[in-house]
Amino acid sequence: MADKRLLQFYPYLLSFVGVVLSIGVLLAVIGKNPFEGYRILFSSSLGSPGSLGLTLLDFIPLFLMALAFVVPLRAGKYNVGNEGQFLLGAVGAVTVSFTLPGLPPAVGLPLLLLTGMLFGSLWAVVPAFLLYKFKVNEIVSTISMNFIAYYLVLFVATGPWHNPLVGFPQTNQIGANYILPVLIRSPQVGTGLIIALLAAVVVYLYVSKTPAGFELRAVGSNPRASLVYGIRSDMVSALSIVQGASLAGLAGAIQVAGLLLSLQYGMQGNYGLLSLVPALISASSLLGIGIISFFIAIVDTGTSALQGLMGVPYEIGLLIEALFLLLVLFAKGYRRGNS
Amino acid sequence: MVLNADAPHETIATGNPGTKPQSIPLLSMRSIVKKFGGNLVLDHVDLDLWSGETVALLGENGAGKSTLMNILSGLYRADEGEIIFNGTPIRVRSPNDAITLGITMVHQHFELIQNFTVLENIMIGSKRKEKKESVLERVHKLASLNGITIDMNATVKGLPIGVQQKVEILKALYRDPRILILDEPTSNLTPQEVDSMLSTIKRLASSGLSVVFITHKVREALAAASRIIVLKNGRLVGKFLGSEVTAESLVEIMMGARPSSILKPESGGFKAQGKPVLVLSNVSTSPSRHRIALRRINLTVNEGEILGIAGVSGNGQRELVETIMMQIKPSDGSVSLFGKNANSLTTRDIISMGVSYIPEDRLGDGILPNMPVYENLVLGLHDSPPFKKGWMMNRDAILSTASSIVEQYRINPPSIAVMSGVLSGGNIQKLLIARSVLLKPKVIIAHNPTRGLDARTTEFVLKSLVQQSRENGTGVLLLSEDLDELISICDRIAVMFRGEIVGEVEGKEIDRYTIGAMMAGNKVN
Repeated sequence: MADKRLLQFYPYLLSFVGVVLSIGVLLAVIGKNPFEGYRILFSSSLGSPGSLGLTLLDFIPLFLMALAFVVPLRAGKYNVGNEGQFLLGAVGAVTVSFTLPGLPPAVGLPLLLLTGMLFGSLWAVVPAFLLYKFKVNEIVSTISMNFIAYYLVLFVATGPWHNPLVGFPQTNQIGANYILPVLIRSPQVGTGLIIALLAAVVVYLYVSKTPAGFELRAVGSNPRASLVYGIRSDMVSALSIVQGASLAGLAGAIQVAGLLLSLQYGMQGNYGLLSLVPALISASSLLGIGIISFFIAIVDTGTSALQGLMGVPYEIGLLIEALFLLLVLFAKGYRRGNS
Repeated sequence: MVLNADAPHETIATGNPGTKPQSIPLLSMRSIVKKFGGNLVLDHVDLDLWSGETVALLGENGAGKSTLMNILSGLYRADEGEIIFNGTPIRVRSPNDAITLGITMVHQHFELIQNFTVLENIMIGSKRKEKKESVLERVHKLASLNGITIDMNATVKGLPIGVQQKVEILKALYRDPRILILDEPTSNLTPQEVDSMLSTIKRLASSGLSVVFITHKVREALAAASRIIVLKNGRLVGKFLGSEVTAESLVEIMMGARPSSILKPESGGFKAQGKPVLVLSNVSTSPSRHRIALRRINLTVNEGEILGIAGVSGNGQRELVETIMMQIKPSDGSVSLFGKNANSLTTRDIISMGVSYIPEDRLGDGILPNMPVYENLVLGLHDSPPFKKGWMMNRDAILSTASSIVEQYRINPPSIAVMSGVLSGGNIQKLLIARSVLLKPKVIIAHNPTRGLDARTTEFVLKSLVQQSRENGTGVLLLSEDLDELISICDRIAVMFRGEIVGEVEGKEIDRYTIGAMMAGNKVN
């Protein structure tokens, strides 16, 4: 039994090895020393308490956005719009900070996080409604909402809250009362990580233990049978997108209050794309999603260090991350073909 | 001739091997072995087939009938054994190979493209380069030769399952096969249609075609086939000429033990004294693209009685159950449950009032394939006690209920954690039956609950329904295309035709040919 489960992950392990190998090859092709590259990759992501802290900071949005994708996935829906929902969460966070600047942290921080979740969810109400009412494919509608979100961020970040000291679409810093406290210094563990892990526990309880979670999985398994037995399949699948979106919104709020301290154009990085990887590999196990998200955080942190320390172009980082997704999809297809 | 069903195949005394024992058979399958995982599904099975004969391949579900023919038609490959066709050993690597050789199979699960017309479905995949007009002419000729009347330009989606079956046969005939394999071709037909189908099968063979007719119905095997080959648990347990064997001995060989034939405790004329639990008065529904309209349906199901609905599939049975379950709202008339109008309720309300439902399409409507047996058992009941406790589902109650159900119903494999999608049809049906009686329902609506099941499981399902009605006073609405089944357990039988109830018979009036006439649309006053 244990052997079988290990064997299941074998193709994914190979794709991880494949990514690491291709990093070396890519470095060699552009004339850099691949072994120096590997050293930087791993030392910058795991080599010291400080670098581990960076990896953990990268892990938070990845993990939460993977959950934002996976909750609707259990109902058979593809929330590819978690990136836009993440951005809306960030917009929600700065909105709270700039409109209610004087709140004490005990009230303000929960309000900021909840507003992030709410904004993320509201962003998903449009695709959810279109799906429920007109059966509009959620992949198309959630992706479309992403593009609107990019420009909404641009609009907010260049508006009245714009920070005039930076020549970039970015808001002023949020108030000190809205910054998530750091709990451990070395490696740095902030409240954000704890909140992300708590959110995962709540998701686990919801999906696996409650009647509503049962309905979510039932609809994902067979919407027609669910309907026949009294579950409103259309409603459950539409709501699943909104539920997932709240987690992406939470990720955006944590990113603002725990790391960036402002709303920045482009702050979504590649989290949307990368978050699909753990969700697609391990849709059924939240622990698996956590572990794989951590692996991806290592590669993501490591490749950004390669940019800084070796002068590797930014595009190589993108290339590697895209390659990662492709290899994983290939591994998934290979596994399906063999079973 | 009575054989010990458990004897190994080598020692079986067989009847005359065929109609032309001296000639070389068209096809010989020798010592075929097939394993699925660790399970031996076919254990050194031999089969000979001569030109122009009809052979019935008889056996219970899981006996290996379909597997053997799937090997011949290239869908599966044998692990051991050889196939000799026309005197030369052949390898059938794919259905395409089989079709090239002239071996065509009509499967139990239809493989028609629902959005295409009958003619397009017949033409699809054929390598002939022919004009549509000449195809049409040829298909018409084939159809009339075999007594089939279908509108060639009708879209398959709207056709009743019985008609779709005929489209499949025409499609197979269009390929000019030398061997035609029919997998359970009579499951969905009226008694009259079954008779005509059986004579069609006989007619096919007289033109030189060899026909293998897979069935678990002894009566039909005897009626249509010149030879009968019986499989049991993957082994050949008997070969007979149709003329020299009786139905009783075939049943005994096929099942290993005589089934008890009496299901109904009070035979015939049982008059339920209970109060009405489910009443439909003048219920009509609007038609849509996929649904026919119900027209002024009046039905009453009383406590402790079984009301049967007979009819060829596609005459509104599905619409009827979906209306009762409030998945379709009546456009006129009312559905009332326990004296209360149910028109404005939801499916969930209906279920929580004590109505349980066994859907016809057990894979499509009945189960959550990639969820375990224990979670499947509580689908629809997941939101009510004892399976819900506070905010959470009551896992302990669900697991212990599931364990006892798996044991009591002998669900195989005996595990509550196995994904229900991998269970066999019979075991899935046991699961659906178990679910339907789990919380002592007041009404059970069962739609074709025994379709495709072997005799043993069929008996189990019917007995469960009788038991519920007689012991718990449950009102049962049984919709079935199998008249024998309806006659064996129902107190009253109503007949549906084109969305209407065309007649209702009770007690002594219950007679298969009267009902058959109504199923064909003749109203009875």
